[in-house]
Amino acid sequence: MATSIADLLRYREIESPLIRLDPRVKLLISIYLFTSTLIFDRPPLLSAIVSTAVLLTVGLTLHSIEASRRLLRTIRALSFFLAFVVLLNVLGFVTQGLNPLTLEFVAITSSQLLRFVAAIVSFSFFLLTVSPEALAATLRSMRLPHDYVFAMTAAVRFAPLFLEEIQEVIDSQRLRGVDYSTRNPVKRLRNYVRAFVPVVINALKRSFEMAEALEVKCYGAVRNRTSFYVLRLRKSDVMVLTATTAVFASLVTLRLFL
Amino acid sequence: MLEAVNVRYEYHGGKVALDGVDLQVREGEVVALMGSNGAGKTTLMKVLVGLLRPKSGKVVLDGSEISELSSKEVARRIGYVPQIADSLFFLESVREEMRYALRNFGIGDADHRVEFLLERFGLSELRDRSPFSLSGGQKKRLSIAVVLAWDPKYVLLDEPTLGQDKSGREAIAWTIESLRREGRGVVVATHDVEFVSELDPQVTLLSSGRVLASGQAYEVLSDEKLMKSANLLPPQSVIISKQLTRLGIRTTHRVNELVSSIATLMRCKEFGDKHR
Ligand SMILES: Nc1ncnc2c1ncn2[C@@H]1O[C@H](COP(=O)(O)OP(=O)(O)O)[C@@H](O)[C@H]1O
Ligand SMILES: [Mg+2]
Repeated sequence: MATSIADLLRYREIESPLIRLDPRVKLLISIYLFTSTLIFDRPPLLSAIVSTAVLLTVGLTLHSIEASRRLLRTIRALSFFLAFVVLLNVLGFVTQGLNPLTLEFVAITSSQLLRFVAAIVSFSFFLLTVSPEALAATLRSMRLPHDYVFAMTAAVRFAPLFLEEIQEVIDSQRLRGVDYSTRNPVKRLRNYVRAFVPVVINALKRSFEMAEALEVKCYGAVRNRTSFYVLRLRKSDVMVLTATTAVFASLVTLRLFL
Repeated sequence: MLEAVNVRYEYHGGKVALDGVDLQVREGEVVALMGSNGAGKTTLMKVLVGLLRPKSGKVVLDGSEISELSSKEVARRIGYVPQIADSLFFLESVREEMRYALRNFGIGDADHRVEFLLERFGLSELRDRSPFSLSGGQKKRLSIAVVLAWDPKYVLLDEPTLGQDKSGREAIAWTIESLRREGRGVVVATHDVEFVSELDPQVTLLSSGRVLASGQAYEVLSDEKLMKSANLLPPQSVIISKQLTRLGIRTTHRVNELVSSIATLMRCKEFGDKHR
């Protein structure tokens, strides 16, 4: 589980014409997609159509089997939350004195599930298609101070490592006879707490090592640093930006008059 | 017997790390798994102990497939010492680390063994220290001692000599030798040819996830072509004996035989010098 969630957060080189877009455009598209799934909460049919459109957009953009497979894995990893959504809906229906075994319930619940998945996917779209360097460039172009940008990109880079390490620690404890398949919730919790200790200690250690590495590379020696990687909007970026903004604007208008 | 049969493993993203690999370890046998960096040694070890599930093929432990055993049953019988010991420890002291698995496996009354192992691996002085304060080499030795504490039937050591000084290497060589004498099965993954040539085990040579050759250490290590295709340097003793052979002197590459024939030659020379 930890590894499949780690997979969701990790950028990998994917070849596709749309991937070469400016990261700022991609960020905007990601926000458009995410917002669209949020504002179309009713009626179920319209919400489902929008969510499907969002999913299709992301799917077509990723344009690769490997990327789509990773998305599917992510969704599988989220199945626990999806089950939770269904459960909440059933409870909601029952407490309002409604019968959950109706077409209405199915329509509402499935449109919600679809929305949930679309929201997650549209959010991870940005992370999947933007490298940590491009993310840094995006944040810098928003005039964020370099120290913060650096801290954020480092965090993005290390998050999957962190999750992988949790898996490693769990594995090594299993090899020393810890029973992770126990049904006893207290024992289970204690196992996970135990696994957490070395991960946190290693993370701290790594942060000190990183600080040393930064010193060695003279981090912060120059106040006004220049960037090797400067973002410039190209013609194709402007075109995509205009088109998507137009679509998004009409969607918002549509929602306002609904 | 611990046995891998026709194992294939692919990592996420399609990298084939093992392809059609067979390996057998009997009781009382030491197998050195050799190969250059990235050959697939670590992957094979993780498959053997059930951490990675092979895409095809199987691992059989004393007649039962490990996929049908619980991870605890497997761990009790196969002790795996990973290559990197960093994520292994989480308790207050070295001694507590030694006792942890014993408690999990319900083994009582092992204090004597714990003390013995700490002594053996030069860790007795450190028994009350936090494991996080140990050096890399000390951690590695502790990780081996920790596994030996519950006395598993098979022991898998991943790059045990990495970062070890002379006494560390000796302790590890001694340990492997005594495990063999006690009738345990041992697999050592390493590219340390000198270490292997001292142990004289069975060698399985791995390259890009395939088995290139397996046989007695000296057969494999002295086959220059084979070693070259596995991207490994033959041990010094082999290089010396090859050069002596080229000079027309017939000798072996077993270190002690090599030494005795060189000694004989030197004595002859001394004798000749004296009586010239
Ligand atoms: N987690 C992983 N994800 C993808 N590829 C991996 C992973 N771990 C190892 N590999 C690849 O599998 C191959 C075998 O690795 P490994 O078994 O660690 O080799 P060795 O231990 O012999 O040095 C290498 O090419 C390595 O790059
Ligand atoms: Mg390795």
